[in-house]
Amino acid sequence: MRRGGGVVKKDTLLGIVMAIFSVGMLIQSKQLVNENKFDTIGPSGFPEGVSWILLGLSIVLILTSLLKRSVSSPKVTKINWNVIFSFVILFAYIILLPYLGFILATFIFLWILQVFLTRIRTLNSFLKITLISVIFSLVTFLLFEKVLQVFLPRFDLFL
Amino acid sequence: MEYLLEAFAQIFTLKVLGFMVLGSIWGIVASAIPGFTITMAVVLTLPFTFSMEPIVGIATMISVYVGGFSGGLISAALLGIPGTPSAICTTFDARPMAEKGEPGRALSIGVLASFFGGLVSIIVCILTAGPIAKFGLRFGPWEMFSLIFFALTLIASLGGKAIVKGLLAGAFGLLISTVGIDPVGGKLRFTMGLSQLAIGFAFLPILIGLFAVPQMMKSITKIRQSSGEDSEISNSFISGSINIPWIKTLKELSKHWVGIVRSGLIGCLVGALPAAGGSIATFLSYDQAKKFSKKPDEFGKGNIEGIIASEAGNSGVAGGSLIPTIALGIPGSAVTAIMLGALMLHGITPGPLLFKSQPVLVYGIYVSLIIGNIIMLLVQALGMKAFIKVCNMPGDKIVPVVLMLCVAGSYALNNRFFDVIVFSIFGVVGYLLSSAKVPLAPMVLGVILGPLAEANLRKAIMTDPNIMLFFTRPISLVLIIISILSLLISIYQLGKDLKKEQQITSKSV
Repeated sequence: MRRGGGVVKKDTLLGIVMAIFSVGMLIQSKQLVNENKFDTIGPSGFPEGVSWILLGLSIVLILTSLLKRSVSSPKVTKINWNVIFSFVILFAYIILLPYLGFILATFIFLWILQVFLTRIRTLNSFLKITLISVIFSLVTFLLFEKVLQVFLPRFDLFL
Repeated sequence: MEYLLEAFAQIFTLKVLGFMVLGSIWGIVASAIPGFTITMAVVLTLPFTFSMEPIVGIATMISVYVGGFSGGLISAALLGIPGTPSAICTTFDARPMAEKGEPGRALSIGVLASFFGGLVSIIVCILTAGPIAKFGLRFGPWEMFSLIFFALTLIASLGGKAIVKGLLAGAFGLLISTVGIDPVGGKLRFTMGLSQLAIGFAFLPILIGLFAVPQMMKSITKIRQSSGEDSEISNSFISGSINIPWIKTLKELSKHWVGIVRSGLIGCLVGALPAAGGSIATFLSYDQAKKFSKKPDEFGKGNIEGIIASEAGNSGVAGGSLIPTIALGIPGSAVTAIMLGALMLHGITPGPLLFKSQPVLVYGIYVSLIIGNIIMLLVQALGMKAFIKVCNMPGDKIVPVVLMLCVAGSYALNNRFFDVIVFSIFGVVGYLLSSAKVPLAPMVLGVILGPLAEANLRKAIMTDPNIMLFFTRPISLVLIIISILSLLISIYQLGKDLKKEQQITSKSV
């Protein structure tokens, strides 16, 4: 996967991942049984056909990416820790949501992500962040529950 | 006529108009913030419309959609940054005009041109959607399948150099759509033993994940990389007071009605084509205005014709892109695919039959477009000063709130936590794909059109196993020929670029 000691090209990696996915879908499609004799394509025909197309395109992508010697293909370079940390916060929020309930989980999520993103860290900015977190978690909850009749998760830690 | 009156009666209620005003404000605000797109505004509105009656939900979505096309001009004129990609050309003349001390004039020209351009396209939409739908009634499963093939290949091939990635994204979307019950035989497929997947992936969490998460992650990177001072945009236009001469501009625009109609029609035509959207329309319209102008040298220096061309052109897309969506049930872009999804969520299947089965609803869409456009004008006129301040909203406060709304919106669809997980998975997928420069619009189209494509393909073969019918039925043949031609042209272009690239590298070595 490494060429000339360089980093893996994103296109090559994408092609490999898509090829694996299409092969997986092909195998799964083959296992589907057609019980309707009038339906010649059956439940497996369409996903199978598209999987073959996806596999073909993945191979083309891998080959064109390997043929390109220039830097035009995007490369997998350094890890973007800002994005990873933000995803971690988002996932933690999603996991905690059913346990802490919408209001509390949302308040914590908004507060942490704002603190992470803000560059000006004064007492005033922390107060502002706290206020925004309280207002948005409450207003969204009330908007969904009272106006849109959508019931969001409630505090459920001890149940 | 009675349908039209009934539609007017349904829309002209305080409740619907109230939601439309809110929708319009949200559309303008979202597209005024640089980095946010109309697509995202529409996606985030969708969860709020579930509990509404169909007509209320659709009217709200349309007002967000119409409002979104006009919001991008505010930051284009005042900051020189297009709020949405479709406002790129607006920066060429609106910004210089603002710098010359006429920011109010630039804004009012943009808003009014947007209104009139939108109106032109809505009229075209009303006049043409019906006859196109009538024509669409002749379509059998062969033509429908070819039409979907046409839409998918065109949207993928428009990616230029990324044609393989575009097609790959489309195929990936089609495969995602096969999860769940098969649309003909009712057999369960690829559910991985999860009962929640029996009805397939709900497309809304997929859309939210694909469009919102990559955008937000990009914003997060930008915010973290900028210094604290940079995040606070300082602009004399924003901090100062701006006088907006609406009446004077209206008189001024009356002299340029030909340009408005031309740009509105260009926008409408471009919007009606699959894969072409606001940004192409605005460039084409701007270019044509320059060619027709008596003073082409003044373009880019604060010329009124330039602002008109750009804004009337991009707003013209609003009505145009809804033509194939309503008439044939085939969206041509990501944002209209979401609009189609919104209709489907309310149990409405757009397409030729809709005109027969639910004519009031079709007229309701037309009326919503007209009223949405008028509301956009009023909201812009009354709230312009507040919207100007929106451009100054700090990203570090917006991003967390938007992500939270994405989670709440995904949950709200079916009141089930599984959809939030789907949102987060597709958020990661969307981020990874977009960082590999894979266009996401073909994927969305694949997800939404997949079941329709499969059902029509299977119906066609079940009716007559002769596959040659796809090539002998005239409409189907024409659509397939155009699709293959567009693919071949793109592949030829790709090959040429690759050759050139190799020549450059071999020379440098």
